[in-house]
Amino acid sequence: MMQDNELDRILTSRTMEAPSSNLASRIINQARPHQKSVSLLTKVQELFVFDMPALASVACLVIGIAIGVISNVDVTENTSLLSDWLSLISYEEEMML
Amino acid sequence: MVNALNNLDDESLMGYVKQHNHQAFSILVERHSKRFYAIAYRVVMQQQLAEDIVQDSFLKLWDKPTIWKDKKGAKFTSWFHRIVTNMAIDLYRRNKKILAFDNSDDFATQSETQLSEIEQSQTQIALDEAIKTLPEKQLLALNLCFYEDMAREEAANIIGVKTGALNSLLMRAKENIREHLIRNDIIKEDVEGKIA
Repeated sequence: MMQDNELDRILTSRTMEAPSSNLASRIINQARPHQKSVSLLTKVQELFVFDMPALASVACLVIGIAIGVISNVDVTENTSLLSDWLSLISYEEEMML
Repeated sequence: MVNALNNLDDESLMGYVKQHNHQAFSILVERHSKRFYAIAYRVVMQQQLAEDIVQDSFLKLWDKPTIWKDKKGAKFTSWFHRIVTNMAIDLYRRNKKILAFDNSDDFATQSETQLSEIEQSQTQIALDEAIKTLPEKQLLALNLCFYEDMAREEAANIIGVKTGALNSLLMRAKENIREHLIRNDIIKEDVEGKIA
């Protein structure tokens, strides 16, 4: 029993380096960007879908032309396709506004 | 809202963390980071590594909160204890040789202090060395039962042994430490095999 007490005393006296004082705040801040990026994405989505449908339509047109250019399709020559797009966008804008 | 969350228990807070509530996550971190740091530190015995383990464990929880299964009666701390311990053991296995020689700088620094402090630090170094030489399961048994004062059933569950085996692990851990300390003249053995 005495042996155990002596050993336990030594074991209990074992010291430990304290953690950095900012450990918790560091972890909390590291976790924050994940949430920020999610909320930012949501806000952009909300902006396009609910607040600025006209801008969203123009963005879609630009993206469409860019895809056409990348795919080697001469969009400017294909006027019927372009006019179809524009009429579709005008219709969508009317419906949304 | 913050005050209301502060009054919640860990398991309820985890419900909010699952909904990406950063405030609930912050409260859990503030509440438990020091405790889990101690758990990790006792395995790897390095401040930076122990902090990294706690940080990685919490960030893993933040990124994938659904890994927490809210079973009836499940305790967050027991569950997270296992995550931190597993991560610490994993790191300990990979860095065992490096960690085994990590006290050299500490000794050089501490040898400049007063005589009594030197003796104290020598005891600490010998004790750390003794603990580092323990087999993995004995180390866990010592940390969980002695330092964490965890219930035997819970500790046995974390290590993956039966309660009877856990008691033997703890006994052997202490015996190994005692022998190491005797060999290093930290404690003396009398003629009957007892410590003087």
